[in-house]
Amino acid sequence: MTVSAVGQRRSGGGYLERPAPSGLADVIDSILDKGLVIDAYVRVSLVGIELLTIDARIVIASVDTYLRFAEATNRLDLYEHGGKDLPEMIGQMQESGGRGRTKGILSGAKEAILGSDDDEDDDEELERAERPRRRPPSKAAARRRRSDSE
Amino acid sequence: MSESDELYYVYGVTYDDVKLPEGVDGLDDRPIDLVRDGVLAAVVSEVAGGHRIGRKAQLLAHCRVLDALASQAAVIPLRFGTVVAGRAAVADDLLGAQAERFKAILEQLAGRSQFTLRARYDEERVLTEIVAEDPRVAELREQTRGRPEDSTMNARIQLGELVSSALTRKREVDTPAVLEPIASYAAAYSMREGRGGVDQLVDVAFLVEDDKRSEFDRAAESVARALTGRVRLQLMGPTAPYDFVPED
Repeated sequence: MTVSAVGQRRSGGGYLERPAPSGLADVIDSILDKGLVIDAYVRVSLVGIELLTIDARIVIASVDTYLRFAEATNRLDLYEHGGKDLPEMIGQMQESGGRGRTKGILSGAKEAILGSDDDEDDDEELERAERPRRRPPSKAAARRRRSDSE
Repeated sequence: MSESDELYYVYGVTYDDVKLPEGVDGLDDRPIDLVRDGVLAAVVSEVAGGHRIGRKAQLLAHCRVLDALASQAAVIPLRFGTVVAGRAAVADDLLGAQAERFKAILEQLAGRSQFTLRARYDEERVLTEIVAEDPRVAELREQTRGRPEDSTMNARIQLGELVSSALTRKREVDTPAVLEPIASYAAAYSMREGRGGVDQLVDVAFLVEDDKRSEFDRAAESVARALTGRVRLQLMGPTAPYDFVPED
């Protein structure tokens, strides 16, 4: 796609947003469980990503989701009335604190998968590319677990 | 395989006559290269022994290489994190062993690209609808708003459940409104699992023929226009066909 084509669309006042795929974290993250999986005996290691992705999904499907939805519904007050008196504002700040905690669990799981760009710390969750002789034995277990949860 | 085999990160499988995109580096800024076997080629870059794979920058590099390739040839994306020991293993054990299967998949993908559509509700708008439509939601909101979380936990969970199921019903109604006008211009589509946020409507990947792109694009634009204010549509692509390779 050429730059001018993008420019034309923008000047046309399009309703459709056209972000770069790499600009949206969840779109890129969703690539984690996509793509052809080659035979286990050929590949050296397929990092522990499949497992971690599933762990993140389990967290999403928990009570935390309901609490998040409840909190979002309560935040509507701000939209409806604009100004708030102080006690209610404090209540809402506590709620968004709760929301932050919930989000922390989710993005924490994601970060365990990917780390962040500048994260050079050792991360025990991540396997190293290993020689076939030291191939981790857990692949069969990972596979079983994966099919169990789907 | 011997101990001295280099490790290769494998991005995807394509045809052997592909021209590697210029100025596109692979994981950890390693140059990308082809390993050929018959009419097939694997796109690879070397991995330093013991080097860790799984960082965000590496995932971005994985996508960058595949998307650049996909813009000029059919390519089968491999799962992020695929590493093979030795060029011989890439040629023989990966490409050679499954040549017919790879060729069949590549034929399916030729002349087609993936576009990913993300539809999100305007959170305020959709929640306001839910509060207005269900008196129980309004009541539970009164009970929990501004009260300590611990003492209203059950009511909060109940409120969240009601909102969650109301959102599910809305998605069931609104998903076809987003999908149907666009899907007829795609060769295939595949629903994606979203993160399940309040604003989540639908995430879907489309496989679009090159000569249908402008029609597809116009259809997406007109849906975005029709739903504007209540739903935001984001369209990303063209990219490699990540969502259209066979499941293992």
